[in-house]
Amino acid sequence: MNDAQAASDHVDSGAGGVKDGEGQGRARESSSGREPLVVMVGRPNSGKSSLFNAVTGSSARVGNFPGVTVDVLESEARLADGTKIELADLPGLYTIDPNADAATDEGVAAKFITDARNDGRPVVLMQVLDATHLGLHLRLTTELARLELPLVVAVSQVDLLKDAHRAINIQALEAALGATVVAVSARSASAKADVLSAIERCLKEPSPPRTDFDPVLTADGAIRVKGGAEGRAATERLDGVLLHPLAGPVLFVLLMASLFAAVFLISDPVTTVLDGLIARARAAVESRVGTNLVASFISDGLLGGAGTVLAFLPQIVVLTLAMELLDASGYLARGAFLVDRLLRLMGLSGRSFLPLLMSHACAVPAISATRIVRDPKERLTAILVLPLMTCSARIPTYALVVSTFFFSASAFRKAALFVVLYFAGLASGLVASLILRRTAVRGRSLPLVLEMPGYRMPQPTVVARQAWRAASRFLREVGTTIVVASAVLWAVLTLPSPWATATATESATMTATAQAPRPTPIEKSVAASVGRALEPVTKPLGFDWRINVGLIGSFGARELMVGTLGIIFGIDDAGADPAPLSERLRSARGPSGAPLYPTRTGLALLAFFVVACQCMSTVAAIRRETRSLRWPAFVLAYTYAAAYVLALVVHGVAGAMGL
Amino acid sequence: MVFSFLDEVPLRAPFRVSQVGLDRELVAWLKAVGIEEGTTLEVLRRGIFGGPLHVRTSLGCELAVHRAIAKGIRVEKGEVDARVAAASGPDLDLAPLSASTAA
Repeated sequence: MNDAQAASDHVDSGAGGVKDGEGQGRARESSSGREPLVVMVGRPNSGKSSLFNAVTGSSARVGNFPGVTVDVLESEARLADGTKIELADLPGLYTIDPNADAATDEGVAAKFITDARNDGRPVVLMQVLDATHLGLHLRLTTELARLELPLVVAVSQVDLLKDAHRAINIQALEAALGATVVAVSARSASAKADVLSAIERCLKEPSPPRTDFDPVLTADGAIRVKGGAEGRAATERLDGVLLHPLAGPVLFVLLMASLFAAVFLISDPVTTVLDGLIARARAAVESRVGTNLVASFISDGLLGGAGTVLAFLPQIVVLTLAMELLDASGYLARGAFLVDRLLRLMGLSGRSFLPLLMSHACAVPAISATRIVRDPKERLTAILVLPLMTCSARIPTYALVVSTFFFSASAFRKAALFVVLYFAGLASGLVASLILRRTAVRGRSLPLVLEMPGYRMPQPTVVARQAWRAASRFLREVGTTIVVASAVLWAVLTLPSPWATATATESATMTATAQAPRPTPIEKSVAASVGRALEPVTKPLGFDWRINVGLIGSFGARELMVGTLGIIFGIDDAGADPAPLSERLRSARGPSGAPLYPTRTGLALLAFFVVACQCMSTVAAIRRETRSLRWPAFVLAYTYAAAYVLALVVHGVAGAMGL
Repeated sequence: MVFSFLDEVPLRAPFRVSQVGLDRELVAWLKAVGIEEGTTLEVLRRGIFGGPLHVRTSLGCELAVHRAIAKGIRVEKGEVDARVAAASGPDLDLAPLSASTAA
């Protein structure tokens, strides 16, 4: 302990706030350097993340390791003797089987360790194991020992052990394992020094651990119990209520509804403030640069894209916080237990429930949340169907279409239509999942075998750091894609098309009963040319070039549909008040005097919006999580194809019904 | 000795795993999470509508186990083996705290 205390005066974790590009450079530098690499491994719920946070503080960053498909956090630290080390935090794993599927966490970990050994630099394994389940965690130790690498065993949760009237004999454990063993509590101020001191001891006498120990007998020799089992009793009492056949599902629904409400209640005011800041920035640009094309690009293209990014950010943070709290408290596994049977109908398991729930607010954080889904095929399926869930961005278009084409319907019928639209999202997800599991993502998934950890009080610093990482990752990786997409969409909606024709022909096709639409630059834009060129394709759905331009405008973000249609029909600020646009759409007439947009067109538009993935943020998030262009392209292709077919069917059926 | 499968056993009674009749990948996976031949299991509850089983292992680990997997785990009612009984676990009342241990 004295040594550890002395070490704490000298330890220095690496510099924080490293940008991604710099992180890549550092990863390359580390790979070519000779500083020792300490690889942290451990079962899920072993307390590894807490300990990694305690040791590295805010300096941890997502590493950029070739071939690694899940996040490996990395950081540097300096030992008391001045030695610089690199720490890598692998995902939680149950086994280190070298034959494990490369796509699983176990496969990633096995490959990572093999690559590190082949790199020729000194490698030390540091296993974090839960003192309250020592025998269980020592099973993994037996596998790690067979790798014949120097091993540090950090026994975590010793504070919980003490609370449970138990104690651990470190000397006995060290003798049995032939490894450096240190007892730590991530909540303790000395955790960092204790761990670094143990690593230093191991580096000074690097010898592989023993391989001939029995996990159960070793645990028996190291742990003694001197009292009751209050921790488990509390978990049993809570499980008695939270997993009760009747009360459990009711409480689950209430908790999830609260979580859902919290997302909007907390994030909406923040989003409003951020919207205000963006609006002020846009006004400042227009006042200084004027109303020319450059100002339009900065204001509508770049700042508009930044506004879209910031609008999502509060949701990302709140949802990540909620997910981390559920996970750290132990309830996430209980939720999976309760809904597993239901999700089996979709070819998914209980692990997918949280991403599916989150996607009803926003698909972007939901796609990140699929990281809790262990099975790679199930995770990919979830990622591919999440864009079909009814997210909040669909609501403005649903509201416009319902108020336009069901103007005279009762409030009850309108509400019923909204409910149908919500369930249409779920139903389309169900159908897509069933098809995908038999085609693009076919193959066996591991049936649910999920650890149900004891209930714990989450550590605020760990939860906050996870939320911070999620937010910064979203801004860095998804945000840049959104801003670029926004700039491209600005160009096609604003720049004049070389193929633009006189608008007289267009005007003749539309005899408005009220005021004729004011000519707007969008009619001569690239988007308008594309919209006209697409008319032969979309005419069977009842869409003309104007709706096509609306669809192009909403390709980046579906909530832009209303605003884009507003521009086409000369309605200012249709996004804030869609009523005038609704009236204009209803009153628009074709050459024969018949309504330009009959009800069947509105229904076809709704059907299209239910299925099409009109969200570049979602596409960017899929690219980020799958680390490929193939799957985001697949999502765009299959959702747009399905949207077209569904809209065609709805238009045909509604037409046959005389709508 | 009465043999049956894990999905059939009564709640809150200890059963020892006598055979895991699943494919090699699943057997390895179950072993990694703490279920193998010789392990003593206790089914705490069953999920509604054919949902998973809530199972506790003799090492104190609790798991949600899909019923399809439980159907492949053959168990026998019997005494908990001595090695497991001596193992650490929050519910096991073992010897008093040794003076040489460090909390």
